[in-house]
Amino acid sequence: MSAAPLVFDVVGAAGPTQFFSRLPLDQLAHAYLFSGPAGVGKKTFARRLAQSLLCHAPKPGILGYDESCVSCRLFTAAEDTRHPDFLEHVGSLKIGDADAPMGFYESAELSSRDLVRLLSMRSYSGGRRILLLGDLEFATHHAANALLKFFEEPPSGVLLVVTTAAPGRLPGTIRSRLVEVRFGLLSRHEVREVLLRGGCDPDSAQRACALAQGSVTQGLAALAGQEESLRAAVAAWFFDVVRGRTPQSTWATRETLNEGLAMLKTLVRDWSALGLSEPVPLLAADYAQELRCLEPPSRTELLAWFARIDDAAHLARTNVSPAMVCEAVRMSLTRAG
Amino acid sequence: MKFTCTTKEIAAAVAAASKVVNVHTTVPVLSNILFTTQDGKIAVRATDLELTLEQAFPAEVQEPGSVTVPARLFSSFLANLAPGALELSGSPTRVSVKVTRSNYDFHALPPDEYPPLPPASSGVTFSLPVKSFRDAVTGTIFAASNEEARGAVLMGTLLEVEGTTLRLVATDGYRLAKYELNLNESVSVHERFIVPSRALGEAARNLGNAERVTLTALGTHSNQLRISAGDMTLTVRLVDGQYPNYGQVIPAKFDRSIQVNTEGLKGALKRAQLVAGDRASMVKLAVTNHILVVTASSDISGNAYEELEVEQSGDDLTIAFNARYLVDILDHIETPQTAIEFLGPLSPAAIRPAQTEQGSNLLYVLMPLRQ
Repeated sequence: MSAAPLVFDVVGAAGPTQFFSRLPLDQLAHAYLFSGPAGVGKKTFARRLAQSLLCHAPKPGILGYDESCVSCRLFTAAEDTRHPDFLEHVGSLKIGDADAPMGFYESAELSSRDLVRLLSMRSYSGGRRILLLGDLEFATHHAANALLKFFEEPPSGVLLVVTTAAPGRLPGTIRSRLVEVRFGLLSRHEVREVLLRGGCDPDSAQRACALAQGSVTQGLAALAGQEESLRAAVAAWFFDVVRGRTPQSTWATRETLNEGLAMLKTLVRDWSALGLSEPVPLLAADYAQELRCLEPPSRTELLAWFARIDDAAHLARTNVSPAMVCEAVRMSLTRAG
Repeated sequence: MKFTCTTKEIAAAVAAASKVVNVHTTVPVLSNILFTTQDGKIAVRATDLELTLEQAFPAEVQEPGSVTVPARLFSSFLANLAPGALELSGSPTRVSVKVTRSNYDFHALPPDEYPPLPPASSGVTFSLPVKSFRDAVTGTIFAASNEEARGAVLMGTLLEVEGTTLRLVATDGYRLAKYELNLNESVSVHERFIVPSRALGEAARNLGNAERVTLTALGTHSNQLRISAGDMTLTVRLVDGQYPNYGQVIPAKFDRSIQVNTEGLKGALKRAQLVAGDRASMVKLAVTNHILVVTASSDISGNAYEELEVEQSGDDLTIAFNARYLVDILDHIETPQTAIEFLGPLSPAAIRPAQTEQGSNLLYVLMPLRQ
């Protein structure tokens, strides 16, 4: 009886796939950093990598799994994997309670200390143990320090995979202990395929992939109308600030900061374009009427704002909180207004 | 699946199993317990992926199969039932329970989502009387660390099997407990397992009325340990790491020793500890002319002074300990007299039950405080 063919079912990620395909198993590092824009399949790739490493089917390299094997059956198509040797945590990580009573994982929130203890246990099924920390952020530097030794020298048989859209936000001490693998944007065809697999109807998938700019997350946001609502929120905030009013709400989160700053830059650019003697096409034409009501900015003000927004975009790639970044821009624009 | 049993038996099994369940788990099926039919029995299994407890109880099986039910909810439901017969039937998504004129339906999750038991390939195996195992576990695990920052290894208890000797060792770096047991049969290999102390505590609590307990290493790399006694089977993931060389902290010989009344010393220490008060709870023990003087003082509370008569051999000595650690140790000594051996005021002291069988098995080592 011939063995079932092995699969490695990810869309896109040609570079990382090639990297791991060529890597001999004995040269697999103890920790990887999957970096790249949000929504390009970093966590999915990490899950499939974990499935490949835990799969019982014999194979020459690292990638590939036999979906019928006992281990692979615990990896569902959805994200709630049930394999006892695969641990996944997405989002912010706190240090945990040092005075927690002796025992197993019982806190409501997985912490750095929980992870260290959980991965100090031997494997459930006798093979590797794999930890995926998706969209990793450390709540405090103590949380990062608690994992420092662990990232440097995890117990034997443990593989750590960290994914992030902003590697600059990770402490340098953590980042230096990880082997970085970059993920590029998806093609339109790839975004469409992911959306169709996710249950999107063909028309919506087509519409979303046109707006996705290579990111499934952005495509889904466009479908849900979030992109439009963010644009409107940023515009409302901008007009409040330049008129000297205190904005009623904030739009800045880790996920929206880059996009929001880009929208602010567009509005400032259009505002300056309206003051030119020759007509220039506007990028946010739907706000032209409101922009015309404002007094045109001076050349000095414009230069200062563009510089401030670029500074903010740089800060957005660091560990500075989104609210602080937004506040820095507000102070600059308020003085101008 | 369908079976009939008594409410008392199913409630006891479910209550034991549900203690293992982690209510905050991110894997929904782990909040449930799994019922599986066996030969004329029902096995209840619960796991948090580190500790798996399986408890069997007799039942009349009408239809074989498996179902899962939410552990805490079902356990609370059973605890409120009057004694009598219970009929449970279930499908992958629903479990129905009939008791006299009551009928309850519970939402269930498919049993095939439940994590399978670890691979059955087994390594070293040995058995011993339940009482000996329970005594050894309760006498040692309290000395293990409960500080996560000190690492999982020190939070575990070392089980070392060599020839006909089983040794349990626990330490948190300040105190050490060592308990040696003789096995009936010799084990051909020298094996060391670091077992999470909580798992050993759970095992000791759930041994029931069985006479012997069997311990078996599972997996090709001995990654799990199965502890089974009667209808209870507990499978625990072992801690990965190197246990400290505990032999180094036990002095090879001592030059002074005392024998003291266990309850008398414990009482004096508890009272003096109240006065010592601070974090280290430092009490001083001064041995002179067959008198042990326990003293403590603090700027806030005042001074404590107690005298106890002891049997002394060797020179006089003054040594300081953390009272809480010493009381913890005395709490686990069952004999009326306790023997304490010293090498000097800054060397570890050995504490053991005096002149009994327990004394030859059990040894505690406590680090002194600098005065």
